[in-house]
Amino acid sequence: MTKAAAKTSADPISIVAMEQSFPKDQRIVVDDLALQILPLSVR
Amino acid sequence: MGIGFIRDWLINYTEKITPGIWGGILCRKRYINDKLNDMSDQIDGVVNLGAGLDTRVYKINLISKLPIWELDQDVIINSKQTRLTKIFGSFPENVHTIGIDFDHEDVGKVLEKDGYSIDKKIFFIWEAVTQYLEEKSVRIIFDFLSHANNSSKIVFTYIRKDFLDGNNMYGMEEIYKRFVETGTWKFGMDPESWPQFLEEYGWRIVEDVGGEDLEERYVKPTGRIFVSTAIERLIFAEKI
Repeated sequence: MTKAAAKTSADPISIVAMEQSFPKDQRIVVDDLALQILPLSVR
Repeated sequence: MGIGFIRDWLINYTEKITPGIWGGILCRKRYINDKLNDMSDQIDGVVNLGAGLDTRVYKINLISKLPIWELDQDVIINSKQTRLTKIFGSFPENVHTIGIDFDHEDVGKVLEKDGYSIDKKIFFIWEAVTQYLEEKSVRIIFDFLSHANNSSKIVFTYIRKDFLDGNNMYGMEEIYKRFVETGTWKFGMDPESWPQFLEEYGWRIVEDVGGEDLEERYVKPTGRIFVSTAIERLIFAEKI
């Protein structure tokens, strides 16, 4: 399980980070930390 | 070329090959965040089993004084702790980050070494993990959860068994090829099988929600139009 799950660990928070470029009232998730927590390579 | 253009291209591309994945991830995050927020005055702590890079426990002020245990593989949890320490200047004292191999280590013992005890009412989060496990590993976690304090809560996600069995693709042929045919995803269950399964471990389902419920709840009010995947569902349950 471990390696397979690790490979996809940044995918969900990347989507949340992308979501922050919508106007606040249109976001499904509001998360100002999402972009900052992403590894530089993913950003 | 602006971020909006890149974002829209990425969303359209993702939705074309895996319809509902983008919305499904956002909706499941929102659901868990909302449930944790709603329950914050009824719990003594939070355990996130497979925390990944999720940020929710660092943003919800209502739980900032509660003990929180975030568990995941060493490589993920160490990198997360480093990033958060840089962002905040120091790592939040109420959060315990624990590196664990879920396949080979005992969750209960690992948690107890770090201050967890079964007399606490805990909000457990188990997001996007069950599909990677064999059924016996899922049952080992529920053996641990069967000792949780009454009124503890859990939100976890699962993949529908009919999708894993190849009986219904739900438009997700690409995901099936990538995760099921390769043996990466192993565990799934039909919604109607969960009540009895959970009852064996002393848990009662409060809510079992899927794509259409989540779209109605979270997407519709924004005026945006996209779907949330039907292959993954969420269960909110309480210990009885």
